[in-house]
Amino acid sequence: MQHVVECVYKSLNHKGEELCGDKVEIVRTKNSDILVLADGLGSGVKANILSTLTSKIIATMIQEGAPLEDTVETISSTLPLCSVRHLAYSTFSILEISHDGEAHLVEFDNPACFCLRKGELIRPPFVKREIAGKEIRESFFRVELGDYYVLVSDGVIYAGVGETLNFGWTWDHVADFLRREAAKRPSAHRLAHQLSTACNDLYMGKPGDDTTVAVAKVIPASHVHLLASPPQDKKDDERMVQDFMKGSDIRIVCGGTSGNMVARILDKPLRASLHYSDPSLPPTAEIEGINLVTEGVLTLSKTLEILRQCVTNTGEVENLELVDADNGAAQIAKILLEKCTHLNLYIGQAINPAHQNPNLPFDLSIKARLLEELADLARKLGRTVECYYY
Amino acid sequence: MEIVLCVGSSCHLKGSSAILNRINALITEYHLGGKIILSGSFCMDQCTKGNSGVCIKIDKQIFSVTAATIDDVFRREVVQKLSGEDSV
Repeated sequence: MQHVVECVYKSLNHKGEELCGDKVEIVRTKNSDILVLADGLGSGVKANILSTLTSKIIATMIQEGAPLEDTVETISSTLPLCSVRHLAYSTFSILEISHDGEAHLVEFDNPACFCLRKGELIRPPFVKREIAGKEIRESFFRVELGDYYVLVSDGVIYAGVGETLNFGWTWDHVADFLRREAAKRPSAHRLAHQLSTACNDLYMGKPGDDTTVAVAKVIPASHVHLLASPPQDKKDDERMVQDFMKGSDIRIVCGGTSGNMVARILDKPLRASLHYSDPSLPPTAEIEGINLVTEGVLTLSKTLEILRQCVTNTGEVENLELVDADNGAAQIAKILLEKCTHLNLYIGQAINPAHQNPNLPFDLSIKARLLEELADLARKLGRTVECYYY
Repeated sequence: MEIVLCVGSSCHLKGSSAILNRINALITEYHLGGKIILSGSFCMDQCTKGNSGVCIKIDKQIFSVTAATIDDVFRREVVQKLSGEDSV
């Protein structure tokens, strides 16, 4: 099975706290993807330290192949004691999905993982084990394409407790919510965002507990091909466009001259829209067979601005409104965020003489640098990136 | 009559968006809605000619216009020519 596991998370801090007491670690190894969610005792700095130590130790040890027993024992014996409660305590969930589709789920005192397949809740069988005095739930199962695995801290199932709901949201109602949302086949980003927004609403914007959602979605590889700038040598135009058209999935052309070149070689008209949804950005255009055609430098600059905000913390979902905006830059960002596992960049190295105009209020001669940063950001998002130069 | 407005990077920075709004206003003012096809283009290869304005093509002829000149160009190249056609 050719699959990729998209892992993202979203945390809401306990009201009035600058730090979150929950911590998510996402680790990609040669053989598997690992998602760890830890919830430290209490809130604020102390909880943050507990959960950070817990998730970091787990992620690092499992990544290096340490057995589960040693990992749990290490946490038990190294966490600092809380001076108020005389406890060293952080709950955790560990989900490891290997590249051949085998999942290993380990849970300690967190709400049970929500497993969704084809819009229905599944309950993989689990065994209980005791390790270092902690009762651990452990399951082994196979994942399928389209599966969602949602790890949460207890702030999610208690959302709204004593405020909008007497007993909080409860595991079963969260499961119902997730089943309804998952039936719409959202991206991992979108599902994490929906669930976390719902929790925030139930808490009326003032979470009574740190509230964290981590989503792993098993998706097929999706290749995005992005062509920017024509080749240095005009003789290579045709070869570049042919390479660009070879792959499957999604195609984006970035740049007016590039758009015209692709249209000429494909012998299809380019229709530039005159719809200025955002007056600071040039409109997009259409070429049959290409998913998105945009202007180049200004649009890419804006796309980078959006993506930079999305990768401040690896895997944390940021404001999705940024990528839902109706303009070319947001559309590129949205594709890279929600529909891309592999990014192939076809970069032409022609220098556009029109862009060397010092009278323009914006330096247009920076495309090469923008594309380098784009590749960089996409890698930080966990995408596999290849660059081809012409 | 066909009018093509460039919305490429350089022209965008020189004010395509404002020119588009002005052209739309002029089309309304002269009641030319049914007689003009307005479309966009990504670059018409005029950028290096040192023009300071936005590139537009009216009936296959290329002009460089600014917010200050668009009204004159529109009256001369569009309104007058269309009324000339009408009277023939």
